[in-house]
Amino acid sequence: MPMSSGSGDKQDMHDQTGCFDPNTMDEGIENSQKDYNTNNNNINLEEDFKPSVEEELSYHNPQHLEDVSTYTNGFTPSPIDIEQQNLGLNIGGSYNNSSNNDMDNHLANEVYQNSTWDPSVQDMDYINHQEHHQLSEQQYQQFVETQNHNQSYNPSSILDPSYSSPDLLNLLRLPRCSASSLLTTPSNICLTNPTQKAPNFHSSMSFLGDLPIGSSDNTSGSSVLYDPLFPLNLPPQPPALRELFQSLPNGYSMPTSSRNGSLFGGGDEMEGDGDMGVLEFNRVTASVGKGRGKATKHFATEKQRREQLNGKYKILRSLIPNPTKVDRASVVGDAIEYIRELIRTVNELKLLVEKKRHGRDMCKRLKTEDDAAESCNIKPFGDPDGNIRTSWLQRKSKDSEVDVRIIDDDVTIKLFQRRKVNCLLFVSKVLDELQLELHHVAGGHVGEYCSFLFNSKVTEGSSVYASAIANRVIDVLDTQYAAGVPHTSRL
Amino acid sequence: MEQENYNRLNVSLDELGFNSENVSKTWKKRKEYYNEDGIRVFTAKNLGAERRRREKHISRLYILRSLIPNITKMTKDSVITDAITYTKRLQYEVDTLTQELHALEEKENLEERAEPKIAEYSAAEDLNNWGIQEEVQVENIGENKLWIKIIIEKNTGRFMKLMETMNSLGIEIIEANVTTIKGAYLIVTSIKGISFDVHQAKHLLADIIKSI
Repeated sequence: MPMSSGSGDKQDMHDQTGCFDPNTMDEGIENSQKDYNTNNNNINLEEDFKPSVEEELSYHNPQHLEDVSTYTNGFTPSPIDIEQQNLGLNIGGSYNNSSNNDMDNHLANEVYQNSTWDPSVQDMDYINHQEHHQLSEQQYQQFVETQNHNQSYNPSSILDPSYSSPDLLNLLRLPRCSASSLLTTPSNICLTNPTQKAPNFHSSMSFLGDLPIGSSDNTSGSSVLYDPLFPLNLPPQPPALRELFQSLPNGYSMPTSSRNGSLFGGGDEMEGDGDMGVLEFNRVTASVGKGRGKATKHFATEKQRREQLNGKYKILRSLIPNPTKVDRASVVGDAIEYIRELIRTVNELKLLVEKKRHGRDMCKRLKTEDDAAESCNIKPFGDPDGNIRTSWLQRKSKDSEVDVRIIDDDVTIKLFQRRKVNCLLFVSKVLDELQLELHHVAGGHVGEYCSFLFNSKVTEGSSVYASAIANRVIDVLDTQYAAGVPHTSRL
Repeated sequence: MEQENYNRLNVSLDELGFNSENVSKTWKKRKEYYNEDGIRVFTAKNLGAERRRREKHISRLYILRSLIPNITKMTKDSVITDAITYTKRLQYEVDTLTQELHALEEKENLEERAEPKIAEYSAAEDLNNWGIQEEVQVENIGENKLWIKIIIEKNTGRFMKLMETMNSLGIEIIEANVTTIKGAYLIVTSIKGISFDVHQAKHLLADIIKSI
């Protein structure tokens, strides 16, 4: 197995932990590109990304290049190249394969058929799931590409630095390790059950970063995954791929039969990330391992999605005046009340504006006919469209509560204040300023609180509206409360 | 088993949906154990309360969704998103309408000044027509507490002035009851804070009324 000159870099990169540096990845792809060119393969990164699974799988079979070559265009990668290639698959390396389409469709059919797998194999341990979803990643890539044939797949979006995350890299690392340790015979078609794979995979995991060229004894299990004759296999790949299909975008129906389906009930919704393929995949992988502990579910995008949702709750809370509690349910409750109040206010204002306009028009019209002074006095009885202006507002502050109700001309203000401040005086001042005629007042001081009710009428021609009243009253109460000291008896 | 799975499902949903502020609280309530399959699961100690809280939250989300005119997706996230946009839109509408109203009002004020003012309602006329007399009545209702009844002619701002004056004298109003009829204010209050006797208070109030 010839090791390319650029393999050293890739080796270094493999040893990196955590940070996914797209630049080095690019470099790595360039290096492997050289390799491919030396192997007389035309690999063009600019072309659309359409790998065939056979090709992908063949990348993981360094030992059997003769067989591999029967499926590909004589491509002979090194193990590192394979891993590189695998990574390259995910970040947009493209491959030129004439037999692409045929294989794609064939694989697509196979993959689609396998969606009715037995869900009982969902309960496997973590590593098996990693294994599975690695395969499913390839399959999914394949599937996405075949189905979204004309869809522009932008590989460069993955290279966006803001996109990458350590979790994703960790996911991708696994196949590298396992691929390098895989030694399969293409003819080795084995339908092993998942549990059997576990020890194999474990041993393959131990080869982290190694470049095993010699044979190892972990053949049977891995071969199911990376067998170039995959389309002919029907390996039990239950949960991951089911979730895959359940979370597919673009009009595919979402079977919510499984629990994961409901977990990602809004699966077609993309949370602000343009790259559909890998993002969907990550959401699938988040669902894989359901029933596990907390650690396995927290992949990068799931956390992002949660954080975005929390951010939205915060934004909603910031829009609401006087939010009381921080928890989500009360934010929603406050939002409900606030939206209702806003709708009422908008209606009231619209009505007022209409009235004003109509009143002025009437005034002008009547002026031409009758005496100017008298006619402007006349207010149209009711609105032209028969609506009575109604409004209801509540405002709460730390120590005061104000409730303003308006029906046509009558304004009813109820206030409730915690401390004894001379509220009667201040509120009556405000009412005068707002041109509200006082008709009735009732209230008094009860212990520490004072509670009052004001019935007033809007002066003709004044277009004061509910929120203005409420805001003024509560401002006055608050400022007086802050600044004022209750008058002590001096006499 | 089914119930357990259901609980597990709900708990796992909740896990993913936890508010960061609540996380610490709720993690404490969780206990981790291994069920018969040897799988680590989480349950909450107080499952009933958790469920109720969740249902309350979800039902409120439904109400929110019903308020918002255009909903495209029925997911939890999109409800919040749509709520945010709708709230902002409504706020914007309120602002524009308010400005419009103010503009109209300004115009009207300018126009009105050019015209003769409407004849003001004459309260004094009404008082005379109906035979209502201005009066002040004071009674003692306890130590330092007085009960006052005042009938005065209703003019704009008069009540406010009365209040102001009384306040400046240090009179505290315990309770107040005011009503208007036919051009007169009927003011009934209980006050405290002045150590006058009944007659003195009566004179004081009469002076006040004359001054306002």
